[in-house]
Amino acid sequence: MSPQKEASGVVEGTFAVVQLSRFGDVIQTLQAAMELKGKFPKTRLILIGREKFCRPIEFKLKETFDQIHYLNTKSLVTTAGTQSLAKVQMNLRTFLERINNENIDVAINLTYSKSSGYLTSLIKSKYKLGLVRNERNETVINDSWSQFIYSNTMNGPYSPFNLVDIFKGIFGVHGSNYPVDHKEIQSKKIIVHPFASQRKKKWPLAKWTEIIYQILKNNPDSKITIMGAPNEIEEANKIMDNPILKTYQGKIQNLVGRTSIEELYREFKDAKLFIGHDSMGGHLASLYNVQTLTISLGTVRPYETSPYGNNNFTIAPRTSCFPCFVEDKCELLPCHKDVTYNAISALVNLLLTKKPVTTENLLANTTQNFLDKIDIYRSYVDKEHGFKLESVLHEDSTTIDIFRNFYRILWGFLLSGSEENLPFPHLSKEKFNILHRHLKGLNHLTQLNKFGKTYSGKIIDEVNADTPDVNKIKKQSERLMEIDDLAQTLKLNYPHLAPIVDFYHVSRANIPGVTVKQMAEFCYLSYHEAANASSVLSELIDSSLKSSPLYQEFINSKNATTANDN
Amino acid sequence: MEQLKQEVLNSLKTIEKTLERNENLESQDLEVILLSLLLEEDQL
Repeated sequence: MSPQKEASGVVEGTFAVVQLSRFGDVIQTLQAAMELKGKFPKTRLILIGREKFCRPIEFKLKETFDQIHYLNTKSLVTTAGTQSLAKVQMNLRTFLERINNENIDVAINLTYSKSSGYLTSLIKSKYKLGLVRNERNETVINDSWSQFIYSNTMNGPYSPFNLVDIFKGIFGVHGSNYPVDHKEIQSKKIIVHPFASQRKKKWPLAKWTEIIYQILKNNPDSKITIMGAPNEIEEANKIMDNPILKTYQGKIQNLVGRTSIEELYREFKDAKLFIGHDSMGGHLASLYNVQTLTISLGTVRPYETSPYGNNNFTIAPRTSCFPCFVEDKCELLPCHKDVTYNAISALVNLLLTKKPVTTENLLANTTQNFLDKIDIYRSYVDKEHGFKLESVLHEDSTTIDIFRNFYRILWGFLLSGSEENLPFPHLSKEKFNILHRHLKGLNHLTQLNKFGKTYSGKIIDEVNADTPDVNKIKKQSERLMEIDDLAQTLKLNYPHLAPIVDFYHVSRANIPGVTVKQMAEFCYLSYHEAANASSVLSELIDSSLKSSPLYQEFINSKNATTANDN
Repeated sequence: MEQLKQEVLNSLKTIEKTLERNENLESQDLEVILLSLLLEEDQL
C-alpha cells in the first residue's frame, strides 16, 4: 500500500499540517482542510504555521483546526536572553515538544520552503507526507501527490489542478462538497485589492486608478472599497489623490492599513465582487463565497491559484512568455501591457449587470484587438473532480491547453483513481501535426520504460542468484541511469511530454526500500507505471486525432505518399 | 544576534563534515539547519 493510501486510512487520527507560506497559501490550506474535516469530522487537525501569516486569520482557522502552533523565529531568538545557539535551540525544542506531545499520526508538509522540510522531519509521527529530510540530509517525498507538486507545479504551464485540490489529494480526499456558489447580493459594493507581494504580479497604480474610474463612471450606483496592508498605505494614497477620481471620492472607501484581516473579512458580507491580483484578498473573498475577478500576471499560474469557487473569473495575458518563473529577469513586463483596463472594465460591467460573459457582450464595451491579447477564464467546481477553468473567449485551445487537459485526465486517474471525461479538442492543422509528432515521442518513452523494466528485472534476478555478481548489478544500474538521461533528452525534442518525464524522474528519485533488491523492485514498478502512463497519454492523443475532421485528410495523404513510394 | 549567527555557521560547518564522512545527522543537527534557514527567511 502506498504511504499516501496508508496515511489517508487514518481517518480518525491526528493530522498535523505544516504550512509556513503566506496568507494566500494558508487560506488554500484551510479550504482543503475544510473538505477533510467535512468528510471525516472525527479527524483531529493541527496547523503549524508562521505566526505573522496565521494569527491574523485565526478567527477562521479555528473553525476547522483543533489546534494551531505558531512559529515565530524572532520570539525563538529573543526569548533566549543572551541569544546563544544552545538557548535558541532549547526554545526550538520546547516548541517542537508542544507539537510532539500531540500524538500525531500523519505529519503533512504543504510548503515549498526549505525550512518546512526540516521542521516536518523533526515532528514525530507515524507517517509523513510532503517533502521531508532524512538523516543523510537528502530530500524524501513519499506520496504521489507531493511528487506531483515537486515535478509539475510551478515547473511549467501544464499543471491542471488548483492548489486546494492538490492539497486535498495529499490529504486523501477528492472532489468538493462544501458551498462554492456566490450569495445573492443586491448592493454594488466592490472590494478592490490593487497590490501583490511581487512586482511581476502587480499592475502599475495608473491602471488601477483607471479601472476604479471606469467602474464608478459606468456604474453610478457602485461603490469601491480599497483594501490592503499597512505597507501599502502610500500606494493607496496615490490612487486616492489622483485627480481623475476627485469627483468620486464619496464613493471610494480607503481601508488600506486601517483594518485587521478579521475586520476586512466582515467587509465581504455585503460585497458583490472582489477585484485584485493573485494574492490573499481573492482567497479571502472566495472563503466568503464572494465572486472574484483576478488579474493574473507574471509568474501566476491561473489553474493553480485562482480563488476556489464557482463562477469566479480570471484574466490572463496571452503573452508568449506568460507565465514566467520567479528567477526570470524582466524589465519591460510585456504581459502587463497585454491586459488592458478597457477589457477589465468591460468584464466588470457584465458582472455587475448580471449579463452573460460572452465575446459578443464584451465587445459592446471593448474591442476585439484587446480581447485577442487575453484569456478570460470562468471557474467551475465539479463535486467529483474539483476546480476547473473554462475559457470564455477562445474556442480554439492552445497546444499547452490541450496537453493540460490530457494531463488532467491522466493524473486524475493515476493519482486519485478518478475518471474524468473532457471533450476532444478542436485541432488546427498545426496542432494536429504537433500532437501526431508527440505520439512518436511517447513511443520512444514507452520503449525507454520497457528497457527500464528489463534492466531492473535483471538486477532483481542477479540479487536472487546464489552468488550475485556485483559487477553485473553495477552494469545494469548504469544502464538505468542512461535511460533516465535519455528521457531528459527526449523532453528537448518533445517539450509537451515534460510533465510525465519529470513526474517519474521525481518518483524514482524517491523510491523506498533499503536493500538493493527492494530498490530494484520499486524501480521496476516505477518503470511499469511510467510505461502505463505513456500508453494512456498515447491513447488520449490518438483518440483526439481520430476524432478530428483532419484525420481522414491525414490518412489520405499518408496513403498517397505510400503509393508514390511504391 | 551576530554571535548567534556565528555559532550557527560554525555548527553548519561541523554538520558538513559529518556528511562528508558519510555519517548520519542527529536531530540536533537538523535543528541547527532549520534555525539557520528560519533566520535567513525571516531576515533576522
